[in-house]
Amino acid sequence: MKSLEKKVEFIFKLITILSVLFLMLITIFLIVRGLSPFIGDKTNTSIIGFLTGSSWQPSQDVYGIGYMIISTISATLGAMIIAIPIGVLTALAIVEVLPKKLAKMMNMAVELLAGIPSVIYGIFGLGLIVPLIAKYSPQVQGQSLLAVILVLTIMILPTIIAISVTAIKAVPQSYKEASLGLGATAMYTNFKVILPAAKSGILTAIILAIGRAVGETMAIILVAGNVAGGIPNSVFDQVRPLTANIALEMSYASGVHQSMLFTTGLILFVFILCLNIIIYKIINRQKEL
Amino acid sequence: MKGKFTYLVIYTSVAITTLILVSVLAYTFIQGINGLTWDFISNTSHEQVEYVKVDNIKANEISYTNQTTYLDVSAYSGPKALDDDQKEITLPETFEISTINGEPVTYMDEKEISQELLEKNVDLKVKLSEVGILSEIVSTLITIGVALAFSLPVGIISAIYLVEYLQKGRLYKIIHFAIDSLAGIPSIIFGLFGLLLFSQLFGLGISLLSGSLTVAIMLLPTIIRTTEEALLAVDQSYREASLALGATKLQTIFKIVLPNAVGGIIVAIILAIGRIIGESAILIFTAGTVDKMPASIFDSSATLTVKAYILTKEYGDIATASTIGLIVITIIIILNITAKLIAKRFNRYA
Repeated sequence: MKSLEKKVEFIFKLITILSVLFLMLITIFLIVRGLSPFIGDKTNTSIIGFLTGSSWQPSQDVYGIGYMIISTISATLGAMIIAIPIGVLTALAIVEVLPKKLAKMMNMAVELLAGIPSVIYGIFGLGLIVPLIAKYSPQVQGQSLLAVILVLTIMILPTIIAISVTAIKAVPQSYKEASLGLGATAMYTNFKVILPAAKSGILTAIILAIGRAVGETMAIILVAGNVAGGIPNSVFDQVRPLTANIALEMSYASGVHQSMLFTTGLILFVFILCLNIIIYKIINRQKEL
Repeated sequence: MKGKFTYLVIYTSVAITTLILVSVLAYTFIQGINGLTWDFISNTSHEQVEYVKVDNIKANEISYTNQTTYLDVSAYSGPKALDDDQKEITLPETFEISTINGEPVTYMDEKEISQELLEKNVDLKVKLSEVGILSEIVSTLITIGVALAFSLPVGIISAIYLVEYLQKGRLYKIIHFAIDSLAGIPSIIFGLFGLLLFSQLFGLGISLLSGSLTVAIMLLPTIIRTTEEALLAVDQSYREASLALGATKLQTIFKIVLPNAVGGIIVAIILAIGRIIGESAILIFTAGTVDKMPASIFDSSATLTVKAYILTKEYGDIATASTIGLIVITIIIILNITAKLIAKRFNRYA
């Protein structure tokens, strides 16, 4: 009996290590394939040139993702600026402000929003947001940085709300009671006691939302415009975020071109890993408290 | 007064969130509801040949694509055509012409075609493409089945190992870091990985199998974490009682702990199904965009959301894409409600 237990435990252990294995495999694949064009003489682009270049013309051996990095960062920042206040305040409303029934309905609404596939947000963006922007834009098309920002906002809002709700709910009831007991108003308590106490949870929500915004592909391809070069100067300019670059050309790229797409993926991957490490540090710090 | 202003700001945020949900749902509904016919769901995409009489095509309504094999006539006002039984049918914006007045179009050049079409009454043999999503539904079901078949055993066993055997320590932290990192990786990077590993290295090519395996890896973190929580929720006293009565660890796990965690595991499965249905970035590269019924898991075929994306990107067909979107949203709503009900039912014992 004992040896069966030991064997089973060993098998379980192997299966569990599969997850670590997959992560390592993904990292290795991305690194090997992504760095391959820079080793040897396959392309004239240097790593610095790749990272800062503002034009992407694979047929002419020009690989610059600098403008794409700026596109992704601007879009993410824009989405953050709009989604964080709305998201955190809505989360606060769900936990503290709204009457119980309404709070439940809002929670269900947020869960529903979180479950809708990204393509549908892309369709909504292309069908409603893009024509709307085209009406007021100085440019002829509606696909733009603004469209990407708006679609990303809609997509990360549920993430921010859901995790912030958990964070705010986790604040001990005694904090609230103590504050109210000392004579503070409900609103004062919310903003000066509860929200600061939920800070690390809300921060986690924000960082997870950044991860989602940076990695979103299908929805933003439809509304971004995807130009082959040029740093966006206004919100009405067309953009090509990093993810869009990979998705658009993957199906027909080959050789150095394809490897360059993997390099783009590698950049994304590294960025997201850093975000994960930051979250880890935040959570661990909170556990020590 | 400051209090009132704050309330206003908070309620505005709630209103904006609600407005967003309502807009997205309403838009998808309005655009898609017309296409939601039984024919749409129960048929695969196919082409239909019709013989029609068309009258009064204007010169600016004709345009050509791919002159070597076929023509498209884009008629923005949608010409009314009479079919064999003299019934009126409305042609879609673009359709393919096979013959004009009995002559196949492949033998004519642009000038001749224009001349023929601009005559008063023209007899056309046209091909109308009808989109049917039966093949997409089947592909989606296959993907769900295969992905779960791989990720559930690996995920649940990993969770069991982490909770029941490891519990703490360095290995636990390393494995957990790997799992949490996997969870944050964007799906498109999984798509790249799946393309390299399953399609190229394993030689599976662009197939449902390739796609399902990649999706399975993407699901691992979610399944492991949710199962972990379900296992942790089982009271420690159950395990202690079982071991004290002389049961082995395995017996305790499979006869005591797992049955009590089953509710949480089922919820994990349902949520995983929801994610698989919504997943498009991975499948578009590993399983392809072919709009045909897959003969086996080695075939390339589009799933529901992949088809919706293609319809929007390549054809600008927002209406049909929204119909698919409507179907998908409905399924996800049903899945969410089911998950909630199951969670409630199983938690009554806790």
